[in-house]
Amino acid sequence: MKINGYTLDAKQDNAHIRQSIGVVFQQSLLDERLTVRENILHRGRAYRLSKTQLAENYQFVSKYLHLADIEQQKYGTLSGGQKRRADITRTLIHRPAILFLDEPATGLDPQTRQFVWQTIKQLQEETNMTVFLTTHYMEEATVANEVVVLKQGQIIAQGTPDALKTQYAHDQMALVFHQREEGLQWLVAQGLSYTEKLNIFSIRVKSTLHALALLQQAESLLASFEVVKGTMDDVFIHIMEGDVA
Amino acid sequence: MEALFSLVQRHNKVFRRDKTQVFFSLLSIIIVIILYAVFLQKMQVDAIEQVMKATPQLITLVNEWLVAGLLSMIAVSTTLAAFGIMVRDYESKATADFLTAPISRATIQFSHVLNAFFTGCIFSFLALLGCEIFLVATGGEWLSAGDFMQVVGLLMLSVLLASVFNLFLTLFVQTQNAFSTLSTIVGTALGFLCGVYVPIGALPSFAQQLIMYFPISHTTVLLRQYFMEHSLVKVFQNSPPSALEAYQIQYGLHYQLYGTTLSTMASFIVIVSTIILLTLLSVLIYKRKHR
Repeated sequence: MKINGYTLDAKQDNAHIRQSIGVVFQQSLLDERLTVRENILHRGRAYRLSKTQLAENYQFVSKYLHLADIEQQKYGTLSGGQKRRADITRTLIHRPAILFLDEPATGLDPQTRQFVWQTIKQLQEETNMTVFLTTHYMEEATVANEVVVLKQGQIIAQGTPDALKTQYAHDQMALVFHQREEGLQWLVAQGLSYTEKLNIFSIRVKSTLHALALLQQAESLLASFEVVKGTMDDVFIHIMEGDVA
Repeated sequence: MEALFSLVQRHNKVFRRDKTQVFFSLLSIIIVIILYAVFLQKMQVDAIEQVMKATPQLITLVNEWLVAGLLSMIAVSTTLAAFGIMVRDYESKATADFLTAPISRATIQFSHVLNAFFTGCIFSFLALLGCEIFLVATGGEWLSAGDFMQVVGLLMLSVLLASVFNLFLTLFVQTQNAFSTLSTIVGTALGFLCGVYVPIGALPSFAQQLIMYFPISHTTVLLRQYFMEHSLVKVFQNSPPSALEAYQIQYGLHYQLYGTTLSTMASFIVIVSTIILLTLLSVLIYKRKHR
């Protein structure tokens, strides 16, 4: 296996590989009693960078992650979101070509999660960095270029979010009829399988257009309806259940 | 090299800023000082007074005896506490974070040993200054410049011994829980094993042998010889040589094993060979641990 052109497990390439990657761990691993700046510079000195290069990198990344207000604070006194900013800065200090993030947004408030996401996205676009992200939040996977689903360490599905959605997710339509019995008859007549809950019938539709065709037919019977697009959550659930749309 | 220095600096900052950790590393020493102030000093003076006339030099002699014991203990307790950072790093996965950078596991391990050594040196040196001030304030004399340098050299050797000794011990420890148990055991046993709480002569013979076989106690012996040299002459000038010899055996200035008195050189040999042996063993264990 090759990483950034270097061979994994080849002794002479080991240092080059580690110089090319950055890893953001799930937990916060910087030192509580050191300031953010001290933390980042100490870990940065483990890379093969000249003093000036390190200082320049620090300038660049700390600006990117808006560290100015917290860089002199002890890491242990920071909030969860501030810690994450510091963690990511530490990881980027040597300007890696490939960034690995292990569930970086777990346990963060929605605003910080957004910030973390925007930053990573922006970095990826501006520096051409490859970003590997593991996550349980399917909404995060939605913005990826390529999604790989793992089950017990094995790849069980792979593709762009759109391709996966087409293959594994399906749109749902919820229908409420004026007269329950009439509606039921119509569904049976159409040969549609459905589930019912509190007089709301859910049916699977192939696409939004398919839904439109059905709606036109049943227009006179309908009190209300809702079309729900398939999400990455559905993709995940269906893949895990081993079921294809 | 840059990476190694950076790691050592980092460990050192992490250690120094954890005031509780620093305090606990000095706890066993603080206990000795308190015990000494409360009754150990008086017990010793009383015991020696029974065989000879009390002089101001006698107090100094007893104080020097304490100082030598303290300094040998400080080397062990501070270096062990410094290795606490290593255990914490492994458990918190901070080590995993370091390993994402192009540095080797061995470099990280070595950085912890260096940090332990430097931490031990700094604390020992500060303690030495404190002890000197204490000795002079209680009527003793300053060490001469030459003696001072020799004591500093001896302290560095004892810190080196303590560093590899504690490295060896912490290689068997995986968790912080286990480490704090280890610290408690070492902290408690150390005062006895260096013959600081109770003079070696007051112990039953198996305990005496145990102490003599405990290599770190040889640094205590050497430190006592350096610190007490002049006071011994003054205190025992009017006593028969046998009284001096009995005192030296009783209070652990010279070890007597199977009827022979161990020389200063013998203690040095014990220390240096223990350093070499423990270093080799640690390297072997380390290699087995990591593939």
